[in-house]
Amino acid sequence: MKNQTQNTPNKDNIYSKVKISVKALDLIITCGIALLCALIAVSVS
Amino acid sequence: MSEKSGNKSLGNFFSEFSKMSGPDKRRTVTDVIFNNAMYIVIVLAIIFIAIRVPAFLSVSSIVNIISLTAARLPIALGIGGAIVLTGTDISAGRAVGLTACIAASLLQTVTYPNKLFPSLPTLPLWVALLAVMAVGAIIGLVNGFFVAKFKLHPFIVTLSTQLIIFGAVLMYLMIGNNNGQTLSGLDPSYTNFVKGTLFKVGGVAVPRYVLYSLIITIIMWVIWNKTTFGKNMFAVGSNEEAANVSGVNVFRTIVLVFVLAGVMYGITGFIEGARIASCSANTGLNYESDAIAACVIGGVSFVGGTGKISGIVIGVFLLQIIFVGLNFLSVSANMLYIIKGLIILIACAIDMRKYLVRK
Repeated sequence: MKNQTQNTPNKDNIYSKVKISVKALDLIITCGIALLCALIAVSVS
Repeated sequence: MSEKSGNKSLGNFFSEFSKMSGPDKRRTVTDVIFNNAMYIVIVLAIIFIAIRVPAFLSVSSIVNIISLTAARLPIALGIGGAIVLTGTDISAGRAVGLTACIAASLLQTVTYPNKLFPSLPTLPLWVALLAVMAVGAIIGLVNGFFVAKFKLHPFIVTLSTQLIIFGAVLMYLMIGNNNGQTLSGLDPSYTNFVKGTLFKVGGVAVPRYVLYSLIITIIMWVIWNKTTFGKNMFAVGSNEEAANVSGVNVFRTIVLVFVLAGVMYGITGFIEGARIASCSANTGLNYESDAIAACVIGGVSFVGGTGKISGIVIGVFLLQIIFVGLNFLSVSANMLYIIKGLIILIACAIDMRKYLVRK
Protein backbone atom coordinates (compact mmCIF):
# COMPACT_ATOMS: atom_id res chain seq x y z
CA MET A 1 0.00 0.00 0.00
CA LYS A 2 2.93 2.32 0.58
CA ASN A 3 3.42 2.87 -3.11
CA GLN A 4 0.00 4.47 -3.36
CA THR A 5 0.82 7.34 -1.09
CA GLN A 6 4.47 7.91 -1.85
CA ASN A 7 4.93 11.62 -1.92
CA THR A 8 8.43 12.16 -3.13
CA PRO A 9 8.73 15.95 -3.45
CA ASN A 10 8.54 16.74 -7.10
CA LYS A 11 10.01 20.14 -7.78
CA ASP A 12 8.82 20.15 -11.35
CA ASN A 13 5.22 19.25 -10.74
CA ILE A 14 2.37 21.38 -11.98
CA TYR A 15 1.69 23.16 -8.70
CA SER A 16 5.29 24.01 -7.82
CA LYS A 17 5.12 27.48 -9.34
CA VAL A 18 1.74 28.35 -7.89
CA LYS A 19 1.93 31.43 -5.68
CA ILE A 20 -1.21 31.17 -3.61
CA SER A 21 -1.84 30.90 0.09
CA VAL A 22 -3.85 28.19 1.77
CA LYS A 23 -6.19 30.86 3.12
CA ALA A 24 -6.98 32.08 -0.39
CA LEU A 25 -7.70 28.50 -1.45
CA ASP A 26 -9.96 28.04 1.59
CA LEU A 27 -11.90 31.09 0.44
CA ILE A 28 -12.16 29.74 -3.11
CA ILE A 29 -13.35 26.33 -1.87
CA THR A 30 -15.90 27.93 0.50
CA CYS A 31 -17.23 30.21 -2.23
CA GLY A 32 -17.36 27.30 -4.69
CA ILE A 33 -19.32 25.12 -2.30
CA ALA A 34 -21.66 28.01 -1.45
CA LEU A 35 -22.26 28.58 -5.17
CA LEU A 36 -22.88 24.84 -5.69
CA CYS A 37 -25.42 24.74 -2.86
CA ALA A 38 -27.09 27.92 -4.13
CA LEU A 39 -27.38 26.47 -7.65
CA ILE A 40 -28.95 23.27 -6.34
CA ALA A 41 -31.32 25.27 -4.12
CA VAL A 42 -32.35 27.51 -7.03
CA SER A 43 -32.88 24.49 -9.31
CA VAL A 44 -35.02 22.71 -6.75
CA SER A 45 -37.23 25.65 -5.79
CA MET B 1 -5.27 -6.22 9.05
CA SER B 2 -5.75 -2.92 7.25
CA GLU B 3 -8.87 -2.23 9.30
CA LYS B 4 -6.87 -2.80 12.49
CA SER B 5 -4.13 -0.46 11.33
CA GLY B 6 -6.82 2.03 10.29
CA ASN B 7 -8.33 1.95 13.79
CA LYS B 8 -4.85 2.27 15.28
CA SER B 9 -4.00 5.30 13.18
CA LEU B 10 -7.38 6.85 14.00
CA GLY B 11 -6.66 6.21 17.69
CA ASN B 12 -3.22 7.80 17.31
CA PHE B 13 -4.80 10.79 15.59
CA PHE B 14 -7.23 11.36 18.45
CA SER B 15 -4.55 10.88 21.15
CA GLU B 16 -2.29 13.38 19.34
CA PHE B 17 -5.21 15.72 18.81
CA SER B 18 -6.03 15.77 22.54
CA LYS B 19 -2.41 16.77 23.30
CA MET B 20 -2.46 19.72 20.85
CA SER B 21 -2.66 23.36 21.87
CA GLY B 22 -5.73 25.45 21.00
CA PRO B 23 -4.48 27.00 17.70
CA ASP B 24 -3.11 23.63 16.53
CA LYS B 25 -6.44 21.98 17.25
CA ARG B 26 -8.24 24.69 15.30
CA ARG B 27 -5.86 24.28 12.35
CA THR B 28 -6.21 20.50 12.39
CA VAL B 29 -10.01 20.71 12.43
CA THR B 30 -9.91 23.25 9.57
CA ASP B 31 -7.61 20.97 7.57
CA VAL B 32 -9.83 17.93 8.11
CA ILE B 33 -12.95 19.88 7.11
CA PHE B 34 -11.44 21.47 4.00
CA ASN B 35 -9.60 18.34 2.85
CA ASN B 36 -12.84 16.36 3.05
CA ALA B 37 -15.13 19.21 2.00
CA MET B 38 -16.36 17.42 -1.11
CA TYR B 39 -17.31 14.27 0.81
CA ILE B 40 -19.08 16.36 3.46
CA VAL B 41 -21.05 18.30 0.84
CA ILE B 42 -22.02 15.11 -0.99
CA VAL B 43 -23.15 13.36 2.21
CA LEU B 44 -25.20 16.45 3.17
CA ALA B 45 -26.66 16.51 -0.35
CA ILE B 46 -27.65 12.82 -0.06
CA ILE B 47 -29.37 13.51 3.27
CA PHE B 48 -31.17 16.53 1.78
CA ILE B 49 -32.32 14.59 -1.29
CA ALA B 50 -33.41 11.59 0.81
CA ILE B 51 -35.53 13.84 3.04
CA ARG B 52 -37.09 15.66 0.07
CA VAL B 53 -37.64 12.59 -2.11
CA PRO B 54 -37.74 9.42 0.06
CA ALA B 55 -37.85 7.23 -3.09
CA PHE B 56 -34.19 8.15 -3.60
CA LEU B 57 -33.22 5.55 -1.00
CA SER B 58 -35.51 2.82 -2.40
CA VAL B 59 -33.99 -0.49 -3.47
CA SER B 60 -34.55 0.19 -7.17
CA SER B 61 -32.84 3.57 -6.90
CA ILE B 62 -29.83 2.14 -5.04
CA VAL B 63 -29.53 -0.71 -7.58
CA ASN B 64 -29.72 1.89 -10.34
CA ILE B 65 -26.90 3.91 -8.72
CA ILE B 66 -24.75 0.78 -8.31
CA SER B 67 -25.40 -0.23 -11.94
CA LEU B 68 -24.46 3.23 -13.24
CA THR B 69 -21.33 3.15 -11.07
CA ALA B 70 -20.39 -0.25 -12.47
CA ALA B 71 -20.89 0.98 -16.04
CA ARG B 72 -18.67 4.04 -15.55
CA LEU B 73 -16.02 2.44 -13.35
CA PRO B 74 -13.69 0.91 -16.00
CA ILE B 75 -13.24 4.24 -17.85
CA ALA B 76 -12.46 6.01 -14.56
CA LEU B 77 -9.94 3.30 -13.63
CA GLY B 78 -8.25 3.85 -16.99
CA ILE B 79 -8.12 7.64 -16.72
CA GLY B 80 -6.93 7.31 -13.10
CA GLY B 81 -3.64 5.86 -14.37
CA ALA B 82 -3.13 8.79 -16.72
CA ILE B 83 -3.82 11.26 -13.88
CA VAL B 84 -1.33 9.47 -11.61
CA LEU B 85 1.26 10.31 -14.31
CA THR B 86 0.26 14.01 -13.90
CA GLY B 87 -1.58 13.73 -17.21
CA THR B 88 -5.13 13.24 -18.33
CA ASP B 89 -7.01 11.61 -21.19
CA ILE B 90 -9.80 13.53 -22.85
CA SER B 91 -10.09 11.06 -25.73
CA ALA B 92 -11.62 8.50 -23.35
CA GLY B 93 -15.28 9.31 -24.03
CA ARG B 94 -14.85 9.17 -27.80
CA ALA B 95 -12.84 5.95 -27.48
CA VAL B 96 -15.77 4.46 -25.55
CA GLY B 97 -18.10 5.67 -28.31
CA LEU B 98 -16.01 4.09 -31.06
CA THR B 99 -15.59 0.78 -29.25
CA ALA B 100 -19.30 0.70 -28.37
CA CYS B 101 -20.19 1.22 -32.05
CA ILE B 102 -17.71 -1.49 -33.11
CA ALA B 103 -19.05 -3.96 -30.54
CA ALA B 104 -22.65 -3.20 -31.55
CA SER B 105 -21.92 -3.52 -35.27
CA LEU B 106 -20.15 -6.87 -34.81
CA LEU B 107 -22.94 -8.24 -32.65
CA GLN B 108 -26.12 -7.26 -34.49
CA THR B 109 -28.68 -9.99 -35.14
CA VAL B 110 -28.36 -11.64 -38.55
CA THR B 111 -32.00 -10.92 -39.38
CA TYR B 112 -31.84 -7.21 -38.53
CA PRO B 113 -32.75 -5.28 -41.72
CA ASN B 114 -30.37 -2.31 -41.13
CA LYS B 115 -27.37 -4.47 -40.21
CA LEU B 116 -24.12 -2.54 -40.73
CA PHE B 117 -22.34 -5.62 -42.13
CA PRO B 118 -25.18 -7.66 -43.73
CA SER B 119 -22.99 -10.63 -44.69
CA LEU B 120 -21.35 -10.93 -41.26
CA PRO B 121 -22.48 -13.99 -39.27
CA THR B 122 -23.10 -13.74 -35.52
CA LEU B 123 -19.65 -13.59 -34.01
CA PRO B 124 -18.71 -15.20 -30.69
CA LEU B 125 -18.79 -12.61 -27.90
CA TRP B 126 -15.13 -13.05 -27.05
CA VAL B 127 -14.13 -12.12 -30.60
CA ALA B 128 -15.98 -8.81 -30.36
CA LEU B 129 -14.64 -8.20 -26.86
CA LEU B 130 -11.06 -8.84 -27.99
CA ALA B 131 -11.61 -6.62 -31.03
CA VAL B 132 -12.79 -3.62 -28.96
CA MET B 133 -10.03 -4.17 -26.40
CA ALA B 134 -7.51 -4.19 -29.26
CA VAL B 135 -8.97 -0.99 -30.74
CA GLY B 136 -8.83 0.64 -27.31
CA ALA B 137 -5.25 -0.56 -26.83
CA ILE B 138 -4.22 0.93 -30.20
CA ILE B 139 -5.76 4.29 -29.23
CA GLY B 140 -3.90 4.11 -25.91
CA LEU B 141 -0.69 3.14 -27.71
CA VAL B 142 -0.89 6.22 -29.94
CA ASN B 143 -1.62 8.48 -26.95
CA GLY B 144 1.14 6.92 -24.85
CA PHE B 145 3.71 6.95 -27.65
CA PHE B 146 3.31 10.68 -28.34
CA VAL B 147 3.28 11.55 -24.64
CA ALA B 148 6.31 9.41 -23.77
CA LYS B 149 8.41 9.87 -26.89
CA PHE B 150 7.94 13.57 -27.64
CA LYS B 151 7.20 14.70 -24.06
CA LEU B 152 3.99 16.33 -25.28
CA HIS B 153 1.37 17.21 -22.71
CA PRO B 154 -1.28 14.45 -22.56
CA PHE B 155 -4.00 17.09 -22.86
CA ILE B 156 -2.99 18.14 -26.37
CA VAL B 157 -2.22 14.60 -27.53
CA THR B 158 -5.54 13.24 -26.32
CA LEU B 159 -7.37 16.29 -27.71
CA SER B 160 -6.00 15.37 -31.13
CA THR B 161 -6.90 11.70 -30.79
CA GLN B 162 -10.34 12.69 -29.52
CA LEU B 163 -11.02 14.53 -32.78
CA ILE B 164 -9.52 11.72 -34.87
CA ILE B 165 -11.64 9.11 -33.09
CA PHE B 166 -14.80 11.19 -33.49
CA GLY B 167 -14.12 11.46 -37.21
CA ALA B 168 -13.53 7.71 -37.33
CA VAL B 169 -16.85 7.03 -35.53
CA LEU B 170 -18.75 9.23 -37.97
CA MET B 171 -17.12 7.48 -40.95
CA TYR B 172 -17.72 4.06 -39.40
CA LEU B 173 -21.43 4.82 -39.08
CA MET B 174 -21.55 5.78 -42.77
CA ILE B 175 -20.41 2.31 -43.92
CA GLY B 176 -22.71 0.58 -46.40
CA ASN B 177 -26.29 1.83 -46.36
CA ASN B 178 -26.27 2.82 -42.70
CA ASN B 179 -25.97 6.54 -43.51
CA GLY B 180 -25.03 7.53 -39.94
CA GLN B 181 -28.02 5.86 -38.27
CA THR B 182 -27.83 4.48 -34.75
CA LEU B 183 -26.75 0.86 -34.38
CA SER B 184 -29.41 -1.31 -32.77
CA GLY B 185 -30.92 -4.76 -33.23
CA LEU B 186 -28.26 -6.36 -31.05
CA ASP B 187 -27.93 -10.11 -30.71
CA PRO B 188 -29.72 -11.36 -27.56
CA SER B 189 -26.62 -13.30 -26.50
CA TYR B 190 -24.73 -9.98 -26.29
CA THR B 191 -27.40 -8.07 -24.37
CA ASN B 192 -27.97 -11.05 -22.05
CA PHE B 193 -24.25 -11.40 -21.40
CA VAL B 194 -24.04 -7.75 -20.31
CA LYS B 195 -27.50 -6.88 -19.03
CA GLY B 196 -28.76 -10.28 -17.90
CA THR B 197 -29.80 -10.70 -14.29
CA LEU B 198 -26.96 -11.51 -11.92
CA PHE B 199 -29.26 -11.77 -8.90
CA LYS B 200 -32.27 -9.97 -7.50
CA VAL B 201 -32.45 -7.65 -4.50
CA GLY B 202 -35.99 -7.05 -3.28
CA GLY B 203 -37.34 -7.99 -6.69
CA VAL B 204 -34.98 -5.61 -8.52
CA ALA B 205 -32.53 -7.24 -10.92
CA VAL B 206 -28.83 -6.47 -10.56
CA PRO B 207 -27.27 -6.63 -14.04
CA ARG B 208 -24.30 -8.86 -14.85
CA TYR B 209 -21.99 -6.01 -15.74
CA VAL B 210 -21.80 -5.16 -12.02
CA LEU B 211 -19.89 -8.43 -11.59
CA TYR B 212 -17.65 -7.69 -14.59
CA SER B 213 -16.90 -4.26 -13.18
CA LEU B 214 -16.03 -5.80 -9.83
CA ILE B 215 -13.63 -8.25 -11.51
CA ILE B 216 -12.00 -5.41 -13.50
CA THR B 217 -11.60 -3.38 -10.30
CA ILE B 218 -9.86 -6.29 -8.56
CA ILE B 219 -7.55 -6.81 -11.55
CA MET B 220 -6.71 -3.09 -11.63
CA TRP B 221 -6.07 -3.11 -7.87
CA VAL B 222 -3.60 -5.97 -8.32
CA ILE B 223 -1.92 -4.19 -11.26
CA TRP B 224 -1.59 -0.90 -9.35
CA ASN B 225 -0.48 -2.35 -6.04
CA LYS B 226 1.14 -5.73 -6.55
CA THR B 227 3.09 -5.45 -9.78
CA THR B 228 6.37 -3.79 -10.71
CA PHE B 229 4.53 -1.90 -13.43
CA GLY B 230 2.19 -0.39 -10.82
CA LYS B 231 5.07 0.66 -8.59
CA ASN B 232 6.85 2.14 -11.62
CA MET B 233 3.69 4.07 -12.53
CA PHE B 234 3.60 5.74 -9.10
CA ALA B 235 7.35 6.37 -9.24
CA VAL B 236 7.08 8.05 -12.67
CA GLY B 237 4.06 10.06 -11.49
CA SER B 238 5.89 11.24 -8.36
CA ASN B 239 9.10 12.25 -10.05
CA GLU B 240 9.90 11.19 -13.60
CA GLU B 241 13.59 12.08 -13.44
CA ALA B 242 14.13 10.30 -10.12
CA ALA B 243 12.35 7.24 -11.52
CA ASN B 244 14.53 7.33 -14.62
CA VAL B 245 17.70 7.55 -12.53
CA SER B 246 16.45 4.65 -10.40
CA GLY B 247 16.32 2.45 -13.49
CA VAL B 248 12.61 2.65 -14.28
CA ASN B 249 11.86 2.46 -18.01
CA VAL B 250 9.83 5.68 -18.13
CA PHE B 251 8.89 5.38 -21.82
CA ARG B 252 7.53 1.85 -21.43
CA THR B 253 5.69 2.72 -18.22
CA ILE B 254 3.91 5.74 -19.75
CA VAL B 255 2.98 3.81 -22.90
CA LEU B 256 1.68 0.86 -20.86
CA VAL B 257 -0.43 3.13 -18.63
CA PHE B 258 -2.14 4.58 -21.71
CA VAL B 259 -2.52 1.16 -23.34
CA LEU B 260 -4.11 -0.17 -20.16
CA ALA B 261 -6.41 2.86 -20.11
CA GLY B 262 -7.31 2.15 -23.76
CA VAL B 263 -8.19 -1.46 -22.90
CA MET B 264 -10.44 -0.12 -20.12
CA TYR B 265 -12.19 2.16 -22.65
CA GLY B 266 -12.69 -0.87 -24.90
CA ILE B 267 -14.31 -2.80 -22.06
CA THR B 268 -16.47 0.21 -21.15
CA GLY B 269 -17.51 0.48 -24.82
CA PHE B 270 -18.42 -3.22 -24.89
CA ILE B 271 -20.59 -2.80 -21.79
CA GLU B 272 -22.11 0.51 -22.95
CA GLY B 273 -22.94 -0.92 -26.38
CA ALA B 274 -25.27 -3.50 -24.84
CA ARG B 275 -26.41 -1.32 -21.94
CA ILE B 276 -27.79 1.51 -24.07
CA ALA B 277 -28.59 -0.91 -26.95
CA SER B 278 -28.57 1.89 -29.52
CA CYS B 279 -25.13 3.29 -30.36
CA SER B 280 -24.65 6.52 -32.24
CA ALA B 281 -21.86 9.04 -32.78
CA ASN B 282 -22.88 10.69 -29.51
CA THR B 283 -22.27 7.56 -27.45
CA GLY B 284 -19.59 8.25 -24.86
CA LEU B 285 -19.94 12.02 -25.14
CA ASN B 286 -18.54 13.71 -21.98
CA TYR B 287 -17.82 10.39 -20.27
CA GLU B 288 -14.26 11.56 -19.72
CA SER B 289 -15.39 14.61 -17.74
CA ASP B 290 -17.38 12.39 -15.37
CA ALA B 291 -14.44 10.00 -15.05
CA ILE B 292 -11.93 12.81 -14.38
CA ALA B 293 -14.30 14.35 -11.81
CA ALA B 294 -14.69 10.95 -10.12
CA CYS B 295 -10.90 10.47 -9.99
CA VAL B 296 -10.29 13.92 -8.50
CA ILE B 297 -13.08 13.46 -5.93
CA GLY B 298 -11.58 10.05 -5.13
CA GLY B 299 -8.21 11.57 -4.29
CA VAL B 300 -6.23 10.84 -7.46
CA SER B 301 -4.08 13.94 -7.44
CA PHE B 302 -3.07 15.95 -10.49
CA VAL B 303 0.22 16.53 -8.64
CA GLY B 304 1.00 12.96 -9.66
CA GLY B 305 2.06 9.80 -7.89
CA THR B 306 -0.95 9.69 -5.60
CA GLY B 307 -4.15 7.73 -5.96
CA LYS B 308 -6.01 4.64 -4.87
CA ILE B 309 -8.34 2.28 -6.68
CA SER B 310 -10.70 2.43 -3.70
CA GLY B 311 -10.71 6.24 -4.01
CA ILE B 312 -11.73 6.01 -7.67
CA VAL B 313 -14.53 3.55 -6.84
CA ILE B 314 -15.80 5.91 -4.12
CA GLY B 315 -15.45 8.89 -6.46
CA VAL B 316 -17.51 7.26 -9.23
CA PHE B 317 -20.11 6.08 -6.71
CA LEU B 318 -20.50 9.51 -5.07
CA LEU B 319 -20.71 11.25 -8.42
CA GLN B 320 -23.44 8.87 -9.63
CA ILE B 321 -25.33 9.36 -6.34
CA ILE B 322 -25.26 13.12 -6.92
CA PHE B 323 -26.39 12.82 -10.57
CA VAL B 324 -29.19 10.39 -9.76
CA GLY B 325 -30.18 12.50 -6.75
CA LEU B 326 -30.32 15.67 -8.83
CA ASN B 327 -32.51 13.84 -11.33
CA PHE B 328 -34.81 12.90 -8.46
CA LEU B 329 -34.97 16.62 -7.59
CA SER B 330 -35.87 17.31 -11.25
CA VAL B 331 -32.83 19.55 -11.73
CA SER B 332 -32.59 20.44 -15.42
CA ALA B 333 -29.98 18.72 -17.57
CA ASN B 334 -28.51 22.12 -18.44
CA MET B 335 -27.88 22.92 -14.80
CA LEU B 336 -26.27 19.48 -14.34
CA TYR B 337 -23.39 20.55 -16.62
CA ILE B 338 -22.75 23.64 -14.48
CA ILE B 339 -22.87 21.57 -11.30
CA LYS B 340 -20.48 18.98 -12.79
CA GLY B 341 -18.02 21.70 -13.76
CA LEU B 342 -18.20 23.27 -10.32
CA ILE B 343 -17.62 19.90 -8.65
CA ILE B 344 -14.45 19.38 -10.73
CA LEU B 345 -13.19 22.89 -9.93
CA ILE B 346 -13.81 22.53 -6.20
CA ALA B 347 -12.24 19.05 -6.15
CA CYS B 348 -9.13 20.43 -7.92
CA ALA B 349 -8.93 23.33 -5.44
CA ILE B 350 -9.12 20.84 -2.55
CA ASP B 351 -6.42 18.71 -4.21
CA MET B 352 -4.22 21.80 -4.56
CA ARG B 353 -4.84 22.77 -0.94
CA LYS B 354 -3.77 19.32 0.25
CA TYR B 355 -0.57 19.68 -1.75
CA LEU B 356 0.20 23.16 -0.37
CA VAL B 357 -0.46 22.10 3.24
CA ARG B 358 1.82 19.06 2.76
CA LYS B 359 4.53 21.31 1.35
